[in-house]
Amino acid sequence: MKRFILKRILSMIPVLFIVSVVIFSLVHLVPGDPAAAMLGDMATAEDIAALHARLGLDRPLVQQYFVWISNIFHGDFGDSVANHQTVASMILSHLEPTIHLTILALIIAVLIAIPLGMIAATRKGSVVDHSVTVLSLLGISLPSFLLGLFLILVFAVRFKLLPSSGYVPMRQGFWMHLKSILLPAIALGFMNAAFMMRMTRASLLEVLGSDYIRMAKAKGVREMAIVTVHAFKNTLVTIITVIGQSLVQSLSGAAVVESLFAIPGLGQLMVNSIGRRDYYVIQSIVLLIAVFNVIVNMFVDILYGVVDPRVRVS
Amino acid sequence: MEAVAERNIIDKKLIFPDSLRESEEGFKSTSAEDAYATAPQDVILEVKDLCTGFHTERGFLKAIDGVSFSVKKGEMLGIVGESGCGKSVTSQSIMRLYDERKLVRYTGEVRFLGQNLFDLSEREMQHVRGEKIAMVFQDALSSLNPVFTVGHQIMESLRIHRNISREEAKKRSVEMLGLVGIPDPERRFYQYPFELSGGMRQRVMIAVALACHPRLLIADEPTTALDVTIQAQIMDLIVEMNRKFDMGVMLITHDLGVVAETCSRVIVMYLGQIVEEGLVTDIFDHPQHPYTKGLMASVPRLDSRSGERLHQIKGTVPLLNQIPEGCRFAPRCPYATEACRRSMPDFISTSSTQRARCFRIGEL
Repeated sequence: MKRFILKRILSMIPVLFIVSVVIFSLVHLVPGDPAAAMLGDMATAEDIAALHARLGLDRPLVQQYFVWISNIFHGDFGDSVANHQTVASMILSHLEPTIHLTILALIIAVLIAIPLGMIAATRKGSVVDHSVTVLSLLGISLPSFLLGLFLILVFAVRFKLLPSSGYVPMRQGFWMHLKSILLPAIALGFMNAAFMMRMTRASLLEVLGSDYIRMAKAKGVREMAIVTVHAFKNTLVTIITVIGQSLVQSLSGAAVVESLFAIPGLGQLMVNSIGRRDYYVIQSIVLLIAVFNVIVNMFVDILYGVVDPRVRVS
Repeated sequence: MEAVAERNIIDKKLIFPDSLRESEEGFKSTSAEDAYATAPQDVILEVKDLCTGFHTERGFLKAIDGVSFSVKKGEMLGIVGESGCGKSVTSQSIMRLYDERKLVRYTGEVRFLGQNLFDLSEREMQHVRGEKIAMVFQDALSSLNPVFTVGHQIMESLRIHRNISREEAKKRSVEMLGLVGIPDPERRFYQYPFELSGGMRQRVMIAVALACHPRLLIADEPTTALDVTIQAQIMDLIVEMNRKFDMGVMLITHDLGVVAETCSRVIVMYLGQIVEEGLVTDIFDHPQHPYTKGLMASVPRLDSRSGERLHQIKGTVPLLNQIPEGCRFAPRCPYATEACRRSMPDFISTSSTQRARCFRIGEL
């Protein structure tokens, strides 16, 4: 098991390298000159040349890449062009809302999706099954901002139970904090729940049709235990995959929901930075999300090994 | 009598709440005792006029139609026939393994130690499965759960049916592994099915099935997925266990050689019906039904001339929605007459131990 985990961690390195090269190229793939693009139409040739020199854009590309990478390892993501702040401090101040929002959305999705998916699979063709299918179709096709608006209308405007927008940080009280991110988390989590529900149902159905389930029944195992022990452990590989995907997706997909609920998270920072053409901020956020993606996938891989003994060996 | 045969357990389950069902069972138990009293003491399983039908997209199809037979204590009964003849459906109907909510409808009776299994609730049935009747399936790799250790899967049977501690269950499971001939059982206990060879896996499955010393073992083609030398070992093991535990064995196979070596009686099935039944010597020495004769002739023989083509029964087993009128084997039978195509022959005795379903018994 230790060797298996070590192998997974080592296999991350080439992936991270390629990802960093691609993201580094982002700035240089922008049509025209990145410095000119940042400064806008009104910049003079001297301004551009000065920015070039300051950013090191006049040096060879390979050298620029290594400077960039080694700076990142020292925690220096560069400076924001628009804001006169370091990129690192900007990201740090926007991190908490997004992380909490993503985690809550995931918890909501898992709590809804897995039980419903399992019930739908065990009662295939029943009213519950059909309702789950409709619900998941709705979740997949309903955009999160529309669901968000609907939630605001019902819970904030009509019943005045929860705030319609704004963010209360954790240090100002847990309940206030929770209330401020509950609606956006539902809006974000519902889509993931829909997908998770479908996958749970499909994979459980497949497992329930297999020979070892028949064998378990022939041994006298109760139906409840067949589903929750024998079948569930075999569907876990699929469920873990979907949870990993949902986590990455909600982190990168939080932008829309954050904008709608005026939550100062990473998504909002990214959208604003795109508007301001603040390339170093964009670059850093994309890198962060990419690294997060790779790490989540590594954990998913390791969990495969924990759940399924056959994975550990191969 | 017909009302009894037509009784639909699924409907009954839906209609009667549990409280009503219990009183109904209480009433039934007297008749069960009567049956037990009248049945010979050594009969453990008696199947009477079993019909199993499935609700499919093409309508309601009967896979088993009026099957009756019995298994005695300590007896090995062979059930043979081509694929699609209903051998496996018969065995899984006895265990009531199909989804009774939607898929299947059983009629007839399966009396186990005098008790009709179709009268039991699902919960009561769970105490029969694995404890009193156990089953071994064809493919051990897909029949053992891939994500649990071998030991866990044996212990599970014991923990469900016997009120014993973890340590005790573990001890007995290791013993069981040793008993079915697995070397180094303590180490194997912690291994997963994929870490064992095909023969070992089949031994493990037998250990799982026999953990609670069942009265009846249903072995559904236990050797089909194995290579020949391993097949012989597994059959030896089943015979050994049959003697050791004095349990009845229903051996489902299409290998007539295995039946000849191990079983005392044989049932030949064709398209959901029993076409011939008798002692092994009856069936092999003087088969009465043309289908049985065809099966016998299809077995390769060592004394046949080289280059001689193996006999084959022409055609294939029809689909369940294309069951012919009259005798079901008539379309493939070389001796079929007009009468065979028009009506179904009765299942008649040809000697004190042998019965067959054919109009032309004695003529052929």
